[in-house]
Amino acid sequence: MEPLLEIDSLTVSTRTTSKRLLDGVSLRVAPGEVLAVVGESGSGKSLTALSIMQMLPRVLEMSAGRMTLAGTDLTSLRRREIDTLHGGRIGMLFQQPRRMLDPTATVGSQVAEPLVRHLRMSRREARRRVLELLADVGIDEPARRAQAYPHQLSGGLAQRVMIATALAASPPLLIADEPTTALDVTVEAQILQLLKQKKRELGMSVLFISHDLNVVSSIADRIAVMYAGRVVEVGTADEILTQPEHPYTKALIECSTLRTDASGQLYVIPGGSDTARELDHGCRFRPRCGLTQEAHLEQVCDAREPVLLSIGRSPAEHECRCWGTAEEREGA
Amino acid sequence: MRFLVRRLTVLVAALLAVSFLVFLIPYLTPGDPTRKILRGRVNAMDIDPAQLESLRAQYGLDRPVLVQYADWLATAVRGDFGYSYTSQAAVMPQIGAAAMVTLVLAVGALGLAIAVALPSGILAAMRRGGPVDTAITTVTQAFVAVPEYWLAPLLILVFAVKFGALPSAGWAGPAWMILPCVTLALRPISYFTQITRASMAEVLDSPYIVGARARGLGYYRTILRHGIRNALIPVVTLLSVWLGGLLGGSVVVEVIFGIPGMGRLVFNAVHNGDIPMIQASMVTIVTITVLLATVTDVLYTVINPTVRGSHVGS
Ligand SMILES: Nc1ncnc2c1ncn2[C@@H]1O[C@H](COP(=O)(O)OP(=O)(O)O)[C@@H](O)[C@H]1O
Ligand code: SF4
Ligand SMILES: [Mg+2]
Repeated sequence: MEPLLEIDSLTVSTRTTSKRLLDGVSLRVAPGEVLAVVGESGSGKSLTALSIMQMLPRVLEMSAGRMTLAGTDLTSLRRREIDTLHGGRIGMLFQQPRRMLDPTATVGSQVAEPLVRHLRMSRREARRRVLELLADVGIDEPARRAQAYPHQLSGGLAQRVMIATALAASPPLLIADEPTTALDVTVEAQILQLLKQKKRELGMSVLFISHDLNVVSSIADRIAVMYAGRVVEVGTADEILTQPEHPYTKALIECSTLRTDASGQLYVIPGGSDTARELDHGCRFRPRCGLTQEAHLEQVCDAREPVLLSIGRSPAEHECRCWGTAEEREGA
Repeated sequence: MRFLVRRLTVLVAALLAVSFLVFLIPYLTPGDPTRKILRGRVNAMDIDPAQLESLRAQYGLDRPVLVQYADWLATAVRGDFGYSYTSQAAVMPQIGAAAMVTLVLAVGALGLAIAVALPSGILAAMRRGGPVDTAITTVTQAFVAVPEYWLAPLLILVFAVKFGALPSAGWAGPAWMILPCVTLALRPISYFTQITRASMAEVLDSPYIVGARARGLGYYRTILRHGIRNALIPVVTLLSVWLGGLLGGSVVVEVIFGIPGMGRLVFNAVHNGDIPMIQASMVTIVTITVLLATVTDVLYTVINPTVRGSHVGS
């Protein structure tokens, strides 16, 4: 099937130092599909989302790559077309829902904005529709909530408001950047439930960003794993969760299963990713990778950066960026 | 509503405290307090020693001080502060006229400052780091260093003396307002531009601006609907502080431009030891200042919903 969103070799750098924060990221999202992007903090998930939205901070620039949404090139859009894109063709959720709302404007007036902008509703129509939208995302007493100010909402309520707003104009794509990370566990489950329900009702595609594989496992059709600005493994959710190949993905899964063991202690992958982007040769995961000693890969991992190779039964089923995996497959 | 009641209580308490100090002025300054008080009441250059005792009894100055204060306050509330030692006329009407002049001057200067500073501050923030920002910031920073007593003569020399375009001194109509207002406005323009710029820059970097753009509002509509209002919250608070400052700070300008305002009036009253005039003007100035602070607080609450109302729901 033709992908709805197609990102090809997206590279984002700082304008002043030309440091590559995203390096050749390629992703595809089919219509009605949920693609989860996982990776630890700083791996470039939010920058990927902002790049798609054409909302990168001014200090950063997209230095290479192509992006299309339903065939339209997103990188050459004019200002006006970008406004239509936002909320009209792509809805977006954020990690801190309350902080994304203007503290001095009522909730209702802000939910109404995409209705007036994208659906050309009159203010009266919009006011009525807002109440329906709020009720549709499970908010009690929508009339009272519409009058409220953002600081009067809990995080969970605020995220429901954001969902109502993001989906108000029925965009074909929803980008959800860590939408449940700031919420406590019960509320997180409710919000995930709501997202799945909305997905069923509206049939939109979702780019679901999270650092937590547990959260992702219940909603994702496919999963892309990012490390230090690169996609290191991508495939169907089933493949990635049950047959991970990349040492980093394996470590991530270890983290999440250990966490569900309720041992209290969080398992953390040894080492940090801070300096990974500075490595100018070889694999960026190398300093933290346990496989290099076992498989005597030091030389190749040190010399050349691995490429994303297809390792599944079909080309799109499973791809991995690791010399160790490649060797293993060849040897088998 | 509760908020308003609380504000008004504070306002009345502050005024009472100040009025008591003002009432004590004749007692705290050198010389016989009885004579000083009676001079302002009977409107005489001095009190005939033969009449002193009967007048003291007539005006109740033999009663305890607190009773006298209550009496004085009751009279003062009706706007009666007695007669000026120098002009021999009732004090309050003179103060009313002078306060009006100063208020017009201050409001004019503040209006001018707002009209210039808010747009330039907002524009500078929107063009952060660019040439427009640099130009606005440089010019307004230079304005801070310009004192009124230097600018006023310069303006008079250029616009009144050289071009004859505007009157140099006096207070006879709108044309007489222009040079004093420009003089007074320069410093507030400088401060307000910088404050507005900083405030707007912070707002433009805040998450809710990203949020508004993600809803499709576009850059300019986002700024109009969600940027400016938030950026003005801290500015509004400072505005009335400055109006208070301008009321007091206009002394130099009133003296140089020969404007019959409060500044000049107080200046002369202190110079002449005109106690009734000093008392009445102090009460007037404090009343206006406290009222302004109250208005600001109310305005701040109206513009900023996060300081009102309580949390609802879970
Ligand atoms: N405005 C910026 N300027 C410079 N570096 C940035 C900026 N925004 C993000 N980065 C860097 O880009 C990397 C990826 O950030 P981000 O996409 O936010 O990570 P994630 O969302 O996966 O936690 C991080 O190392 C971060 O420090
Ligand atoms: S390429 Fe080498 S260093 Fe990188 S993850 Fe694979 S085995 Fe580890
Ligand atoms: Mg992020």
